[in-house]
Formats: sequence, structure tokens, C-alpha cells
Amino acid sequence: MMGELRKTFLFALCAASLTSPAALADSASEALLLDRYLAASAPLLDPAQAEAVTLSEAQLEEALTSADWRVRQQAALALGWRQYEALFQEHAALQPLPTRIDTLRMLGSAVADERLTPLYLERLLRGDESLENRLALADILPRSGGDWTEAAVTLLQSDEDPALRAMLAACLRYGEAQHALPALRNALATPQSQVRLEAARALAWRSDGAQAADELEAALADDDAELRATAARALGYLGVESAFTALTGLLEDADAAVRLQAVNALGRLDAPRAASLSQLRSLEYDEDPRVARAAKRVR
Amino acid sequence: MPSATIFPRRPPWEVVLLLALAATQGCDDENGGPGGQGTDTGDSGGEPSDPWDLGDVFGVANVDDDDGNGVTDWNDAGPAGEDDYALFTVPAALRAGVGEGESLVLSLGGSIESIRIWQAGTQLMGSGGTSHTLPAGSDDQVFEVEFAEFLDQGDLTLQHLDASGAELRSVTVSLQAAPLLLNHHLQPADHLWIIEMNWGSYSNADMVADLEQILGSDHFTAVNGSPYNYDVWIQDELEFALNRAPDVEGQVIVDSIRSQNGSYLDNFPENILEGPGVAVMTWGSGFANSLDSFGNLETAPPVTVGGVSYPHGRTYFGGDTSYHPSTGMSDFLESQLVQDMFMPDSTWLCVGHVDEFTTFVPDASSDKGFKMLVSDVDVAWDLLDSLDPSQSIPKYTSAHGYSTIGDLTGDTSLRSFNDDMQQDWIEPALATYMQELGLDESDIIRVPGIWEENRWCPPNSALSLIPGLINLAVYTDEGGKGSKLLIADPFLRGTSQGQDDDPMIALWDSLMPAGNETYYLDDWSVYHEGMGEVHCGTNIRRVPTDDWWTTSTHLLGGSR
Repeated sequence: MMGELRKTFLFALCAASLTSPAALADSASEALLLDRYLAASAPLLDPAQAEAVTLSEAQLEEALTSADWRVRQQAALALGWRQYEALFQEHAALQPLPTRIDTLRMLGSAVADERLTPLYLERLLRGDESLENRLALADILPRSGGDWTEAAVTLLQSDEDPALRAMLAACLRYGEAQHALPALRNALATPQSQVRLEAARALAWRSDGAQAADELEAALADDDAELRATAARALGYLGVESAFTALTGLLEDADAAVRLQAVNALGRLDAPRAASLSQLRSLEYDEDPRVARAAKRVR
Repeated sequence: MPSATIFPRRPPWEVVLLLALAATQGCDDENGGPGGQGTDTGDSGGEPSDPWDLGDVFGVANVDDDDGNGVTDWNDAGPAGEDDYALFTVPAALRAGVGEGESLVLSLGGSIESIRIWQAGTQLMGSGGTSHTLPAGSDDQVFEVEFAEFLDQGDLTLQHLDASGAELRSVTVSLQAAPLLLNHHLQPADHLWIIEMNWGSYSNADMVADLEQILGSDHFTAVNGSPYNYDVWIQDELEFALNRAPDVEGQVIVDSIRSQNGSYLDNFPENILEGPGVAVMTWGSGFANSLDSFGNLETAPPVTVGGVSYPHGRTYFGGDTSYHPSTGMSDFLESQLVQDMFMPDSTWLCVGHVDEFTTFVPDASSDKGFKMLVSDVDVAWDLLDSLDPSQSIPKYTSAHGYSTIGDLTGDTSLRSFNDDMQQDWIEPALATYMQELGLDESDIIRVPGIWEENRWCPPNSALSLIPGLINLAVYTDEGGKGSKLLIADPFLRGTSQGQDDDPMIALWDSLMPAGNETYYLDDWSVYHEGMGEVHCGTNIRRVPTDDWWTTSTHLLGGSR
């Protein structure tokens, strides 16, 4: 059923671009791989399926340079099964393990391996595993490295589960700028607050995150206090001086965490200017000791 | 497998000998005086001891299950093998002063529902009766005192009555049950446990082998993780505690509510540690949050604060007013008085445990006998900024997204985040520790620590980026003056380099007080990436070094 879902979603994407799936491919090899991808009933999660891909290794290697990530994904999978069958066998059904905070994560010295990225991605894209497993599979992508950003962006825009979308947004902190940055900017406008929150958080840690200054500044007015605090923090981390005035408005926010992050951000952006703010003087007596201490520190 | 009971329990003949000594010498309290309060103490000094100088009675809550029948001994009155009673003797010399027609009467006061007085297997006092007339005779009369709960208090009055029932003389002794005492890092270590994990590349086999070599097989047990769903977080599951009195050496395994109904390590204490003299107890109930794990429950070494001495140290349990451990557990710990619990704020941490940013290590050169370690980002940046930015750190590439030292030092968001953590959270928490423990900066060693904001964690919460070296296990030497420090290997080096080339290890070695040997263990895959470190994955049993009944009764409040 999940395969059908994927197929439906992908055809919807193609329809949106008024293009047939096969026409998206640049070569016969790519067309074959794309068809293979869309034939979700036969995922490349075992060596027999991979063997059924009739392309040579040279053709598959060439397909790895395709502009279509789905083609690259299928080529990498088929190649992986041929070249690292034992490694793939070991990880094709690998289950995540509990961390100290009881979340499930792929753990072990061998799991974060770039060669395994297409395998993890395939499991994630199939969508037929539990949410906990899918979160763990998303989490392992940036740890493994390799070609995962576009697939993550696609899922961020389409998956039905907001928890998975939030995790993917968080992972895009490490994604390729070309795809990750626009996706995160868009994610700041999604209805699900947890996705918006993770997008803001990811942007705070990206060296190019300041390019999302407008979206982050807009998030300062979000209904979700946690997002306001995170956006304020991000603007401070990223040195977005143009946000100074907007951040000043948060010094009187009802939420102490928001006030704290606003104080810290203002101090970071322009400490002398922040020190002269009358609101900051008031915050030296804030009911929250951390806010009061931060205000004194900035002044 | 080691015995579940590490302290040799005293044989009856030894108890009797101690009893006789106590009867003749009295059980001095910390002020050097006899505990009993008589109405006529008679002469002293140079004269033979007054047989009416009866010492106070210190016992333990009878919470274990000596006969292993599944019923706690207090609720299983008179079980076979019972040896958790305190002894009280009316000596022959005293009885010799009782004339014809006169009598000696014992009366129990205080918590009579939770104290029982026994003699030779028969309950004389407690629920159902509060006095007992001693039979005529001239031998020692030995009574056994049983307590239901920790810190139960009562008194026992011995009256000498004439034939008309008029009192000729009396003495009242206090009956006091022990507090539950958690161990601190200056107590010598006796044994370390770890859960074995060997699931493909998710394995702690190297760390297990290293620990066995460091500690020796007699002091180390690696437990098969299979029956426990490979839950490796043994520090979080249980806390070794003491339940001691002059006549009784008991232990309590405090079993956290973090795992319940047989899940994960829930049954580990019962399966591996419980036995005669070793009780397994749980406080708190319901949904457990991360703060209920016992990596978040630690005890500082002995301190004096504002003139008040805490010979057993002070317990600390991380949390704040809105996010805190189960009140069932924290209220109980507070009620134990002797280790006067306090609550530093640990809620800024992703996992939320005090062991992630503070610990205590022996320091024989210090008048306090220890140093407190606290994680400090500036110490870490000073080190990192001094290193070659092109130095590769391959372990950090996949786990944290940094491939070189320069990637770390050049990440302005990482610096900002760490600055905020230090200023907003660590410094205020340190101030709490210093105030509650009476410490000054000379008692503190600031050790390097860098935090990350992990995607699994709540926003603006911290998790160790460089492995939390401070999250270490202190395997204290016999004298309590030094230790083997079991520390996470920071791997701040390239693949072809060893620990000798690691600048973080060199810095740590230079910071640790003399007398502490450092051992850096590979905890990366199983523990560090699982959001814990060496301390989280180990648990150490320790031996007592101090008798609360001689040093700590001033902390019990009330008449004591």
C-alpha cells in the first residue's frame, strides 16, 4: 500500500510539471531506473531485485550523475547490492536501538557509512516501517553522508507525518545548500508548528542561514513561543543586524524563554545599542532569574 | 559472579561481644557523652561504669527479605535468618541492684506502630503492647529492637520500681533507625557492573575488556544484556545505598522508576543484587521522565556548610520547580536529613542529568579531600583554538558534522550556543553547588566541555559534542585518597594517532588531582552516540567509611 502511495505522489509531482515520468529521464538507462523507482512494488531491498536491474555497472555508474535524484538513488542501490552485498544484507533490516532518552536511533560503529545511504533512503522512501524506524532512518542520513538532500527535501514537502517532516527539516541543517536552504525557508511557512520550529532551528546552525533572515524575522511573530524563541536565537547566531528592531519587540514577550533569547540575540548583534534600551534595564529585574542575569550581562 | 553481599555480616558471637562493650562503655554520641538520660546517673570518673549508663540504640529499617520468601522482613515477623535487629541489653550488673519485691519495667514510647521489641523470638512490645516487666534474675537480658522504616524514632524507658510500684530510678534511651545513605565518591569502590552489548557493530566489547583489565575480574562484572533488552544505562537504573547500624550492615538498592513492569533493566536489581541484607526498594511512581534516572542523582563528598558538618556528604538531584524527578523519590531523599538533598538545575540538558556536567574526584592535597569538576566551554575553546585547524577529527564527521578542528572553531553558531549554555545555565548551577556545599573557586576544577544541540533534543538543550569526559566513573582507592578515573576517550585526533597524541587527553591529565589515574575508554558507538558516557553505562558499589550514629546524629533534628 505504501508503495502505491509513493507511486501516486510521484506521479502527482510529474503531473504538476506536465511531464511524463519517462520523459524526465535523459537516457534509456535513466528511464529504466526511473520506471524501476516508480514500480514501487519491487523495491531494491534484496539482492534478487537488484539483480533484476539489467543495466551494466558502467551504465549504473553513469546514472549516478543524473540530474534526477530518483535515478541516482536507484543506480546507487543497484550498484550497492552488487558491490557490497554483505554490508547491504546486514543493514537492510537493521533496527534502531534506544538512546538514553528512549528515542530510537541507528547505533553502532558501522551504521554511519556513506555506502549505505541509498539503502537507508530506500527504506525511508518505502514508508512501510514504523514512525520510530523512519525517524531513525532520517536521522542516519546526514550521519552517513552522500546523496540524500534532495530525497529528504521531497519527503519534507510531501510526507503525511509531521513528526517525520520535522525530523527531515532538522536533518537539512547538514543538507546541500542548493536544495536544503529553499526547503527550510519554505518549511517556515508550513502549518505544522513542529516543522516550522525544526526549520528555524536548522537554519540557526547553517552558515548560510542568514539568507532566511526574512522568514526567521517573520517567525518572531509566530503564535508558538518556542518558535519565537528559536527564531530569535537564530537571528542572533546568524548575526542578522537588520532584525534588531524586531527583536527589541520580544523583550516584553510573555514567555521568559523568548525574552531570554531576545536579550542574548540583541547582545550578540549590537551590545552597546542593546545596553541603551530602556526595556533591557527593566529586564534586570525580570521575574525569571536567567532573563535578569542575561540583561545585566548585556548592560 | 560476586556475592550479592559485600560486607561480612557480623556473627552472633561478635554481636554479643559488641553488646557487652556497649553495655559497659556506653555508646558515646558525638559530644562524647552517654546517650541514655537517667534520673540518677550516680558517680563517674575513676569509678566503675554505672550499669544504668545504657547507650542509645541504633538500628536499621528491616526492609530486606532474609528468607527470600517475597515478603519484606518487617511484614514477615520472625523470619528464619533474621539478623537486622538492633540489640539492647539490660546488664547483669544492673539487675543485681534489684531487691526482693522490686521490679524492672521496660516501656516503649514514640513510634510504637513501627518499632517492635523482641526477645528470643517473642515480640514483647510494639503494636499491641508498650511495656514489659523483666523476670527476676541476675543474668544479662538481651532485647532485639526492630524498626519498620528509615529514621523511625522511639524511646525505651527502664524503670526500677519498689514493691509499691514507686519509681526508684529510671533511664530512657533513644531508639533510632538509620537513614538511607547514598554513596559518595570518596568511599572506596568495591565492584563495578556494566551491561554487555554485542550486537553487530553496536558493541562495547572493547570497553568491557579494558575495564576488566583495569579493575581485575574480582571487582568487575559484565552482565549479559540479552535479558534486559540490551539496556546499557545501568547508572540510570539503580543507586547503591547503605542501611547500617552498629549491629547491622545492610544495603539498599534504590531501583529507579525509569523502567517498570519488568522492562529493560527493571529486574536487574532483583536478579543480580538482591539477597539477605540487600533490599531492593523503589520510591515514586507513575510516568517517569528522564530526570528520574539516577545519572541525575548523585552525592557530593563530606562537606561543612555554614558550620554544619555533613559527614556523609549531600545528595543532589537535578531539576527545577516545573520539571523535576518524581516527588515520591525526592521527598523521600529530603526526609532522610543526613545528606540534606538539594536540587541544581539540570533541565537545560537534553538528557537532563547532573552527571553530564558535574562530578567529584578525590584530592588528597585538598583540605576537603576532593575537587568538584564542572564542565566549562571556555576551557574547551582555549584548547581548541590552540590546535592546528586542519587537524582531522574523523570520529566527529558522521556523528556531529565536523571533520576538522577548524570546522569546530569556525562554527560561530556553536560558539554562541556554548556561550549561552555556560552563562545561562552552567554558571548559575555552579553557584547553587558552591552555596549548598560551601565551596569556593579553589575547590573547583573547570574541565573542557563542548555542547551541541542535537536534533533529537528539545530546542536550546545541550548534549555533549566532544564526549562528556566529565561524565566519568570514579573507582576510588581503598584509602579514599585517589582513584581510577574511567573516562570517555575524546577521540580528538586523526585515525593514525593514538591517545598519547590526543590534546584533550593531555589537558585532562594535567587537570586531574594527583593520586587519580586516568583511563580513557572507547564509549563512542554504544554510549556517546546513545547520548551517554562511561558513568551512565557503569555502576559502582562502595564500602562505608563513616558511622552515621557517631558523626551525624546532629543532622537528624528533634531531640537528637
